[in-house]
Amino acid sequence: MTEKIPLQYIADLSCLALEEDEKKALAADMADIIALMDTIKDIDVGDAPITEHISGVRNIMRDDAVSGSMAAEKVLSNASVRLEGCFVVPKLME
Amino acid sequence: MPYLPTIGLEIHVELSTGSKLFCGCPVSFGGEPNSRCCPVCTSVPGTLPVLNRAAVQYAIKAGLALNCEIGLFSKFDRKNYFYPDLPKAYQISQFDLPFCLDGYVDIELNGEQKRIRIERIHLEEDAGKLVHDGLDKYSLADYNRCGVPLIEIVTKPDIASAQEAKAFVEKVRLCLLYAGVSDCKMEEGSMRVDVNTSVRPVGTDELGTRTEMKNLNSIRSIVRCIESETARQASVLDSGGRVVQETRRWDDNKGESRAMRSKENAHDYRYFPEPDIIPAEFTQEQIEALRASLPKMPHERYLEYTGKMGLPGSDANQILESVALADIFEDAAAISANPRTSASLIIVEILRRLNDMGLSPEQIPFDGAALGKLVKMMDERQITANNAKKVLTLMFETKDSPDKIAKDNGFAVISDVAGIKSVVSDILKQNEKAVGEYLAGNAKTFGFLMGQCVGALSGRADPQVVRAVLQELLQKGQD
Repeated sequence: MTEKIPLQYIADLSCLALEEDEKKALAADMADIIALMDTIKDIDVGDAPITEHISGVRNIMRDDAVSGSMAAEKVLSNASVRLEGCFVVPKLME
Repeated sequence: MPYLPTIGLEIHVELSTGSKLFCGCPVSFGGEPNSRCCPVCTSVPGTLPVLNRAAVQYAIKAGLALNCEIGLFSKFDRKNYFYPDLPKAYQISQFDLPFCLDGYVDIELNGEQKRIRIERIHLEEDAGKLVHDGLDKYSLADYNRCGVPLIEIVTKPDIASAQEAKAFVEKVRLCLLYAGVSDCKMEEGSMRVDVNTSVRPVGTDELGTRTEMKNLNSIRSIVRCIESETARQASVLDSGGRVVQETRRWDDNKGESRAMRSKENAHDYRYFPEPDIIPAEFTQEQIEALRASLPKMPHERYLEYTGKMGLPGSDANQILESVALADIFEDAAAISANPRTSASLIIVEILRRLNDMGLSPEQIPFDGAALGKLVKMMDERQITANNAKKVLTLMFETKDSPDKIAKDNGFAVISDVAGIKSVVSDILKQNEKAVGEYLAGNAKTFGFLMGQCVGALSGRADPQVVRAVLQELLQKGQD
């Protein structure tokens, strides 16, 4: 089962660098999770409509009202590095 | 070998709601970086986004303005991607059940009409802004734009030239402006266009490989980019190469594009239904109420202006460029019952003053009723055309009504002949020499005397009446 998990591909999509032993362990975990989810296939759901949202409720919306923002200083308080009022992040494009 | 381009567009338009799509942070342009952020739009774990009702209504209005079918059931999906412009590492967007489907816009080019189909319009959150300039290994992230409501309009590949693309984007922009859902300011990034281009040899049907050019922010760069990319693909094919499917970056300064280094799997977004946002459901009555709330679209107005109102097409288009001008024009035309003079005052006089003063049509300090009143005063010969222009200038400065301005400044026409006669007869007394010359047969002197009279009346009298009075009084002198 674990060989069916495209683990390297998923790691690439998530920008995760994984060691070989981590990959093996994660592939085994994911195979277990998928196997568990596959048990749903055995349930006869008859003509039940597709569930678009598990809550079953609709139209929870808010009015278009401005409620104020945080001070920039507070927004940036989680930034490990900041410059000119901005978060400094690694450059990801050419 | 000659090639034909096939072009599809994705137009991103920021909606002009007061607050963001999922939180109460304000939507505006400029300002200090990261000053319009909260735990929701900066993706602090444990926060819960709640959908802005107005954004949903605007998205549906946009769809109605662009002739779309509106889905009565719609939901949001999570689009996973790893890029620091959205700190959640996913964007809340719509995948399979967007608000709007199957629309179209008719464009006109060289007198021919063509229908460009719209595949879908979905609502999503905008991403933040990354500044890459000047830093080597780092970028600066400003999250003010994170969570601003954005619609994405996706066309079918129906566009066959740069000029068609231009006409389409201009028409879409105008429709959205009239629908009142966005300011569509391309220079401020509230309307951005991605262009997908492929070419195929003339006479063949199979579409070529397409490339994508992202984030074009002016009509000019859209046109140049399509022309450049069409030529580039043709030359690749002509030299025996093949076009690679890729995202390219357009450099407007150099007028050329280059391939962006992109990861192979960049387009695998692993969409899944967004658990944090509750689906939206509408009745047909609710959709019809939104449709009824839309003002008349620019193409309907064009037909009215050029039809029963009798404006030339170029004048109609100039007025329709701005919703504010169109509204002023329609009110002025209704009050004055004179669309042509109303239009010419707007196009010649008002636009020139706006240009001189560096104002936009939205900043005109008077309404269409006031302009209509001025046109009516001209038509009823209460004021001359020349003085009407002076009144217009003062309407920009004083905010007074045109009749008050005319009265206060002595612009009102002297309509009783007796009043004019007394001024003219004074002039003749002051210019006995010229009168003598005229009576001696020098007809040229009439022009001089006429000038004196018009000057003394400072444009307050109908020149034709002045001329008649002058002739009458001179005739008397001769007798």
